[in-house]
Amino acid sequence: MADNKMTFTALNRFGFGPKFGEARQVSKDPQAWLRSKIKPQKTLPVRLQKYDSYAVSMSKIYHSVVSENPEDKRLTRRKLHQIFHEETADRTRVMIETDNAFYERLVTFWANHFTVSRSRPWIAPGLAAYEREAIRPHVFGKFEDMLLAAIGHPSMLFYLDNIKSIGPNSALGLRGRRSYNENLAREILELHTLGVNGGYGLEDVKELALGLTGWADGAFMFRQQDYTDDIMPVFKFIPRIHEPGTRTVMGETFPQNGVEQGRAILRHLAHHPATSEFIAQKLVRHFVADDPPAAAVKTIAKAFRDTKGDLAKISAALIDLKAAWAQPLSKVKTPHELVVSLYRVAGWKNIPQRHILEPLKLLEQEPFFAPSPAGWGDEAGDWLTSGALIRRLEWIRAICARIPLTRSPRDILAQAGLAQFNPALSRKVENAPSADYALALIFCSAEFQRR
Amino acid sequence: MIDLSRRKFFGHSAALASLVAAGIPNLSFAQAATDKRLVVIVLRGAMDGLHMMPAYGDRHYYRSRPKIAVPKPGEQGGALDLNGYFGLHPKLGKLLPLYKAGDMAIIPAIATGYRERSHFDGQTVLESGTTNMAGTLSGWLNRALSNETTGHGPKGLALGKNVPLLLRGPSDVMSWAQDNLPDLEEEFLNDMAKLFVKDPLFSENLERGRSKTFSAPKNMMTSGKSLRSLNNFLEGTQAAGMILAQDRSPRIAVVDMLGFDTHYGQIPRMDVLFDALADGIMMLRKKLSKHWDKTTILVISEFGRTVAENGSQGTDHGRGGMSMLLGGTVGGGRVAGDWPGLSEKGLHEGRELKAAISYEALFKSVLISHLGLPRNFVEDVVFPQSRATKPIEGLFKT
Repeated sequence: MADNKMTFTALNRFGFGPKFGEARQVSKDPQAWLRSKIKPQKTLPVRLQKYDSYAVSMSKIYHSVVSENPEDKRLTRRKLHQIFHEETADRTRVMIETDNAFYERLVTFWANHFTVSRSRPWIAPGLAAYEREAIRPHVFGKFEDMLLAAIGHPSMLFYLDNIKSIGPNSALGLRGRRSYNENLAREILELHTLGVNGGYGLEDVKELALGLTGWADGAFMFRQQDYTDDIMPVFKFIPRIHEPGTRTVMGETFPQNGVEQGRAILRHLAHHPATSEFIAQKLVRHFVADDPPAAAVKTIAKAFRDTKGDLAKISAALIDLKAAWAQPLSKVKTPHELVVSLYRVAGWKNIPQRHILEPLKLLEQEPFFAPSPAGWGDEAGDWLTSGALIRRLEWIRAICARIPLTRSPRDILAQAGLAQFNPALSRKVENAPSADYALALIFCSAEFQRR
Repeated sequence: MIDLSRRKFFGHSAALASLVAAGIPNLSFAQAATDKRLVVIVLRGAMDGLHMMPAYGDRHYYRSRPKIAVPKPGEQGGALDLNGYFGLHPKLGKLLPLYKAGDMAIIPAIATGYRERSHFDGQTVLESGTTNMAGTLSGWLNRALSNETTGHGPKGLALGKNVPLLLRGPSDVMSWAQDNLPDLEEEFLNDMAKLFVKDPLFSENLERGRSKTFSAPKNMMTSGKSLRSLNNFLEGTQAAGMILAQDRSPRIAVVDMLGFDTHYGQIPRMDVLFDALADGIMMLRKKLSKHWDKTTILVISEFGRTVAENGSQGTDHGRGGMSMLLGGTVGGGRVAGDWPGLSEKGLHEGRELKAAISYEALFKSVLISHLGLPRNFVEDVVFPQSRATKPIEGLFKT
């Protein structure tokens, strides 16, 4: 039935695959069902509510650094890393259990777009908090607000070196030899807004970098002897390192206005036509095909411009894209998507932490550990080499022998909805020598590994 | 040394895989027609050449880098003199005997045709060998492997779970990585092959992944260094050395090394990286000692960094970088190629080293003079439209 295939697409392409029993809840109109999921998320998922804010967890690190007991630093860091791993597992559990997988998928999309990575180990304990604070609230909000929240978050300012960027003609800059750093500005233009072909030049990078001097982490610039409880690692604008003068970015001039100067430049970039094209291309690549069809990109870019970057309306426009419903589904699941979707339909309650984190490490997609500021790749070739495929099969084969078997493989196959695309799979499952073998056949199938 | 299990090696040869599936044991591919070895080490993140090989004889060097310059030879932590003008970073000291023996050449100012400053695009140009980044790209090294004089069967080896662009393309290559999952049953793999039949992407990758070939190290060394990526690099060089030393094995390997994007705190980070780089190269020297007179190790990076230090004791992206060639084949003991100098007038945009030599010229030299590929093939297939770029003369012993 065509309806059934649309349900399959709604659950897999826009979500993380069905939970056991979820397919029944999708209404006769899967597009309307998806649209009903677009609503501002005012509160955090319950599992994530108990974790500290970035400021609180990072201030523990700053405190341990100035502590007189050298053991403090080691123990504090170990404890915080342990908590970070617990939250990383809980974040994946949220995605396994959620009733709004469309929202959670968009969380991963946007967190990846604004990547902050553990490749800078100092900030690692705060990265899950970054996602909670800068990304989650804006997934169905305004792109401009998410851009400002992400760039202004102390973990991003740390990750891309802006906390060390000092205007050469600022009060502090004139006294020393230190200068500005272009790293954050370059990545904003290349990765977050205009895109690498967005028509900016070296001068735009420099001007944006100067406009963002003074955007800092309130705890980073302290001298150790001055550290007190009220110095917190939260966003802080430091006028004495901000470059004076007017800035020009992409032909637009921005008068000196302290912290508002940088904000004005970011807002300008958020609404630049190149940004709408670049974001549209990434979204369509994610929701339609590795090679994004030009017509769909055009539609989404127009929606972006028409709604001034309203991500709720843009998300709805993605649902309305005809190309997004084309079958068979062409996208290959990332390792994270594979692990989440497998556990969703397997219906394993209380998955031990190591069975969540180990496969992600093995398959090379540990959360918050993207290899570069560009984030994880979003094309089949980024994930499906022959070696990676064998490793997927090996992990799936091994984990299927560990999942507590509360339902028959036959039922799980039916819930996953795969047999309609590959009848041979039903026969193989029926004839499998054991239940874990049967489950492995299901989860290893190409139909399950695509979305 | 143990017989290598399937999970360790991922052959990318469809023909071989089907023979293995048919139950023919202990198959390995044909003896490669060349016995030359090539290891390419890609330093990702744009390695600062002036830190690797400080131009201590140039006053502009110390003027541009008041905080991060490597001290002069003879001073505490000073460079190791190479030729009275350039020195070698002290953490690369293990390589100095190679330089003195004439087995190491340094190219001080080299770049691709890429003019912008994105790591990802820069690496794409470096690895694909073209500045035209449209369409499906393949790596120049993979294209070079398509010549029959390099033999049949999988000829390239990627160390790491993913194959870098340098080795991606039409020719068969393999990748090697460590893990500790149990092997899959033959029956299960056969079932999956049948289930994948309608999906070429999955079925082709499965076939490639199933070939079982030659032996490789099982118990890898543990280096004691805490950085994950460095361990990967050191394990990769060890595995590459052990695999390439065998008679019937790929002849060409690519090893990645990450972490060279030193925008801040360059000194301590480069100390650790150079230490590991020297260890990795010496590991290759040791494992390939029997074949050293047929071995070339090529060290490359996507671009260079600014001549002047920035405000956070690091350097930013710049044009000209540095490259090294090591091996018994190399006409070394010298700094090869022109040096544009560090005076402000001589710099690109007043802040970056110019490129005196193009990577294309270097790569062509390696393919023609070391691997012995016909020049016509190199200029038709590997680097089309490159006839105007002459290979570098005299890089290799004759």
